[in-house]
Amino acid sequence: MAGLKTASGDYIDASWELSVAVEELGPEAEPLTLRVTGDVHIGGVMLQIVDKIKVKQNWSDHALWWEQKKLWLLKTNWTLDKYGLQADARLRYTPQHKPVRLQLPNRRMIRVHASFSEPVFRAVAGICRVLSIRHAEELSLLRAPEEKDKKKRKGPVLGTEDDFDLSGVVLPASAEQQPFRGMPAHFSDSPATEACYRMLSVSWTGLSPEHVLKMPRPSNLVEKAQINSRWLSSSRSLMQQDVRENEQLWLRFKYYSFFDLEPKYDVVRITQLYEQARWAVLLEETESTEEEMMVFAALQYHINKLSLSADPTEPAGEQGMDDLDSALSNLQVKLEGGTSTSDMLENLTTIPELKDNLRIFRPRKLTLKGYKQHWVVFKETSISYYKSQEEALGEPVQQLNLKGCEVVPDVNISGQKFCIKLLVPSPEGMSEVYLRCEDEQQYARWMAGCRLAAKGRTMADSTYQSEVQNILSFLQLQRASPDTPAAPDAEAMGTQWLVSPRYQKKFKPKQLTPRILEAHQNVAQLSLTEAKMRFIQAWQSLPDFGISYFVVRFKGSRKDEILGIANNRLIRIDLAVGDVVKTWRYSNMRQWNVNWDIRQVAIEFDEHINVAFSSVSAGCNIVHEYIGGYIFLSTRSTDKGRGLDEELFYKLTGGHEAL
Amino acid sequence: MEQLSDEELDHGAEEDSDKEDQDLDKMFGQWLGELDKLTQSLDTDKPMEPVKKSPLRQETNIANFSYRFSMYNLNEALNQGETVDLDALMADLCSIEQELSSIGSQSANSATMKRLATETKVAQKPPAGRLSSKHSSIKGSSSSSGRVTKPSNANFSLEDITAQLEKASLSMDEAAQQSVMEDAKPVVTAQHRRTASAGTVSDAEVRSISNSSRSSITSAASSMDSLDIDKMTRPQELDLTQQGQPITEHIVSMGHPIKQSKRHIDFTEEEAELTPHSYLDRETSLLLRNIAGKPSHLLTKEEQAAKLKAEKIRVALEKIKEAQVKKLVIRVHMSDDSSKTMMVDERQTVRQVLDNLMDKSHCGYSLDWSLVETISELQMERIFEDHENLVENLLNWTRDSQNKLIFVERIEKYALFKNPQNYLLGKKETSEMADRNKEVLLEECFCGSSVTVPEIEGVLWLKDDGKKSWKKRYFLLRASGIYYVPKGKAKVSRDLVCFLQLDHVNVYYGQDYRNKYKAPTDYCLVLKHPQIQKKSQYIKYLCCDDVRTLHQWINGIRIAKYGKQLYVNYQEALKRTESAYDWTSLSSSSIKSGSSSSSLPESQSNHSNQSDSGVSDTQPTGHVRSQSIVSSIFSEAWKRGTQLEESSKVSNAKPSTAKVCVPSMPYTGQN
Repeated sequence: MAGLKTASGDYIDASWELSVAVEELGPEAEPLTLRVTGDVHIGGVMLQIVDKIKVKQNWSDHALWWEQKKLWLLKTNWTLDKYGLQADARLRYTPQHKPVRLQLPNRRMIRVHASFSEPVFRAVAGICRVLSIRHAEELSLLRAPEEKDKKKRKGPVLGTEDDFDLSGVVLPASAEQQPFRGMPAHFSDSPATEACYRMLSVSWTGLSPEHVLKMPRPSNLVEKAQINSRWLSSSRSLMQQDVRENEQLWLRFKYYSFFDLEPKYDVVRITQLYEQARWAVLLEETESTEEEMMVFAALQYHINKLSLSADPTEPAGEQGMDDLDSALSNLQVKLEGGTSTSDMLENLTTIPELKDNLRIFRPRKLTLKGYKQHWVVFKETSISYYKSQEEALGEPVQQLNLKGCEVVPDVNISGQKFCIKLLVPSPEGMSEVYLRCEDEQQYARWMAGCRLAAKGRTMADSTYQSEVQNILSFLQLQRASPDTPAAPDAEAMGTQWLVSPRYQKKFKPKQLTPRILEAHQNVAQLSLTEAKMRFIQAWQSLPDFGISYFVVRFKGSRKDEILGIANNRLIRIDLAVGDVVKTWRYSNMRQWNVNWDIRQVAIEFDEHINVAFSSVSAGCNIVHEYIGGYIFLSTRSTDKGRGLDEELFYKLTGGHEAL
Repeated sequence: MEQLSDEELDHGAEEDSDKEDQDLDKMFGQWLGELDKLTQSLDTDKPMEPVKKSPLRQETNIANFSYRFSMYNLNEALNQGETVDLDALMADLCSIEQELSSIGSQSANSATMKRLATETKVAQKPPAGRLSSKHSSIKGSSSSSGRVTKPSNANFSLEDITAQLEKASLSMDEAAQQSVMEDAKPVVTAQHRRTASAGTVSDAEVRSISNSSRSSITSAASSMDSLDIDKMTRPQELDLTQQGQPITEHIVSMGHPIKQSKRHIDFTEEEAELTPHSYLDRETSLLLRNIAGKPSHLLTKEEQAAKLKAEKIRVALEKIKEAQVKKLVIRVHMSDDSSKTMMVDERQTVRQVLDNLMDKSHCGYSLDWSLVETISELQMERIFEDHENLVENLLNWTRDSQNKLIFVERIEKYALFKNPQNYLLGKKETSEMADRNKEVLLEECFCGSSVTVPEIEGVLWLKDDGKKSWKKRYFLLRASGIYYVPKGKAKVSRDLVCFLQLDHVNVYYGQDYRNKYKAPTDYCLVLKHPQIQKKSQYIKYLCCDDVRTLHQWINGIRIAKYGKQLYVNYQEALKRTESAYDWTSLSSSSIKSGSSSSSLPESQSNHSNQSDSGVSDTQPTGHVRSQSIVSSIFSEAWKRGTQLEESSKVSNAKPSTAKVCVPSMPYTGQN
């Protein structure tokens, strides 16, 4: 069709026919043909198209896409000639924003409109604006893995639930988002979007062990490197990278350099970051030791519990209080605080005490004595025990000051064993003492007292009651099994999903719960946000944290090796053993280049150290962008008013149009 | 003033009995310390208005109405046959008593107070006398040994000194006046550095009879130097002096038999002390009304005195408020084998105590000053971190503990921040790094949302429980604790076994474990709960192959344990050293209370001139200037003198003490 000439009188003006496909006319519809000359502006072409379609709708988001060249014709004042467009060009008249299905860091699916015409960097920024995530530069999009996911699609798999739909959301024009009813205003349009906000800002509690087991887990460095081959290029548009409408993409924190996490503004960001961290830990993408896993489990348990009790609007209300509200509540707190201090003064003379008959066991060498009944008095931070209640006026058998001691729960619910193991430091060493309580209630009271005393606080402390409740509720977890003997799995439901599959296998729930309980005592007082932040920090302090792996071939080397890219350094890792061979820091880096022809990245460090490698597992542009991205992120200033220097980002990561 | 002198008495007594060489610099240090205190008590314009003082300030520690009497290290002192600590504590108690009565009698009852003061003095006399006799015997022995060399070695500076002497003589006037009061206190108690210098004088004198008079000049010069500096740094004090003491007389007294001058000063001291009080109380209220709002240099002597009085009352009142705070009397050992007794309150951090000690001992400000806890029974030691609470740590000691607290310079303390590349990068070898990169590295490690614990791993020796045998293990440090790789397993996170978590333990340097426990090397570190003081299975001993590994591990553990706090401590310490950099600024920091905080000698003299002018207008500016020059020359000469003296001491000389600034403690309030 292109280049056809008709016998009409227009022949002389060098006009030709341009064919434009319009999706709105239906898939089978013939492309529109327009008669144009080379000096027609793109804007003019689009006007002609709209005229021809004769469909009344808002066409303002539409633009022309040149299929062969994978190019958006966005400069409406450019002529066809200037674009070098000729009659053989296949054009599409299509919206610049299309819906995509995004899998968020918390593995939930959401539909949003993303810009298909702008570079991914900006498209992500747009998505993050909708989601209310600050510092979008830290996130990016990945293609979803293809087959693997489908194979495992039996049983409950995350990401298959109904999508949350945010595609209809209209962002306010102003950059400053006014919170409304405790959430960014655009979420409060409908109950559906409100639910969506909850999904974004409150971590999901419906997780089961199967979910974790079903997820693909990388088992070695090469597998860990796989995910990094799927990153989309930030400097090109989605359309240019062949992403189709409604395609599934992953949104993830890509650069492990989290700038200025602020609980006040970053509700969604912190939640999603926590989720990503949680999954990294559960799926062992970031490896942790047993002890660390227990801390992570305890934090997850704690976060879950708080998230459950949080009513849909409450967590939001907490965050987004406007000034008056916060001032009022501050005032309230102050007033309450005032009365409570006076209460405290009254209480000074009467610090609560615990007095009970408990069985005490002191393990000593060469003795087989078991527990012995004593009258035990817990006063301030000390425990004194007497032979009997009658002798309580005299000298105690022993007095233990619990300040600085270690408190370890030793509980077995089914065995009705409620013991508190105390490791009390003394000049001679640690003395071990076991206190055995009769029931949960007693245990919880004494345990809470011991924990506070270990920190040097008495039971007059305001946290005492909540500590007691915490302990009781944790015990409930374990008690779940006798109540539902029909489901042997029910007990597993309690804590198993809090740890990675490896530890699920290693420990019986009976063993696991006490250990998590032990770790939990250190985090039980944290608020929801604090707990999430703690989780993120603990994750960040893992040695493996923040390293993105690539399989590469170093210049002059014959075997594949792993290159780890972190926020401050490059790490050369032995592929087989996993040992670090060499570390280079960005601060010593002079320059880096990419030879696009042979796809080799060459880096020069101080003291004339040169490193060159080609990427095996991922495109060399991805490696290049990762390094450039970290360097870009390190240029961010603490000056919050400053926007990002987007140009610099492209310069550092783009690799020009060599692709 | 009474209680100050009383306390000083005991402080000095203790010093003396330590039988350490009584250097002029100590005396100088003492004076500066006192000056600190006096200027502090002067610096408020409105005396009646309660001003909140930081607990760091000295006055807050002078006396306490309620404090915990501590036995720590006291036994040790007793074992050595020293009763001095008890004296010191006695003095504390006395001062408390006095303060109490001064509050009680603030209406007008000065008579009681005076009597009380005298009583205290009387009570203190006997030990003083005893000590002075003790001292004279030392004098005899020491003169035969090291000191002989001194005059001749110090000669090269004498020309300068004599040249400057004349110039300075006029301004000496003031200095002498001043010295009378300050000076007299030590002397009246027949102890202290002052006596030490006096001892030198008399020593020299013996010789000067036989051949030259130079040596006596040396002594006089160095004394004058001290006087001079004293004067220079304490301009505001001048108006407090009640009687003029002609300079000539004072200098002459140097050349006279020492007993005489002592007696003389003794006498003036009594006067100086008693006169203010004799009429202060009568007029206090009136004067105070008058002086309200007046700039300090415009006040008359009476007004100043009244102000001082009011200030003391105010301080005492603050004490009452502070009475709830527990205090601990501690003994701090210096690097020169001397020791100081001081009081710390339970809120004080190690940083505050260090600042206090640095101020008082005039040892120069350095990042490296540390409080080190040594547990002799276990042969281990630990540098307290600046943010730690000192009292809390000391309470872990047992009653009969042999543990010591040492005030000493330790480069290990902040080496981590001076050369982070050696600790944070997990490299095996030391290297250099540009300062800019060091900063980047530190920022990266400590300023992120979480602290990056350096990746330290390697083979260490672990001591078997209860045995003197050591086994090799591959250890790794993680933020969550110390791990090791079990036999036959790979070095992957999931297989690591937790050796220790760091929440409940501190890390110590082990000392000489090669002998004690047959350790493979002497580079040992120990992990234990701070409360454990005796051998126990709960103490873990690790041994490194070399000292570098040892420091890497210890610093790594510190980072894992304290995180960002360490960096904050360092920055604070840095700030502290930068603000008070060297000698000159040291004296200016003492003046600071006056308002000027400049560290330039020039502006200092200006400042002293200003504040002097109100009281003694006769003093020409030029003198103040020349004075500062003189003093600097003197101090130079004196420095050399000390160095020589130090080096000439064969047995006792320690490298650390051979420096210009000998750590010593002129801490008058509490000793």
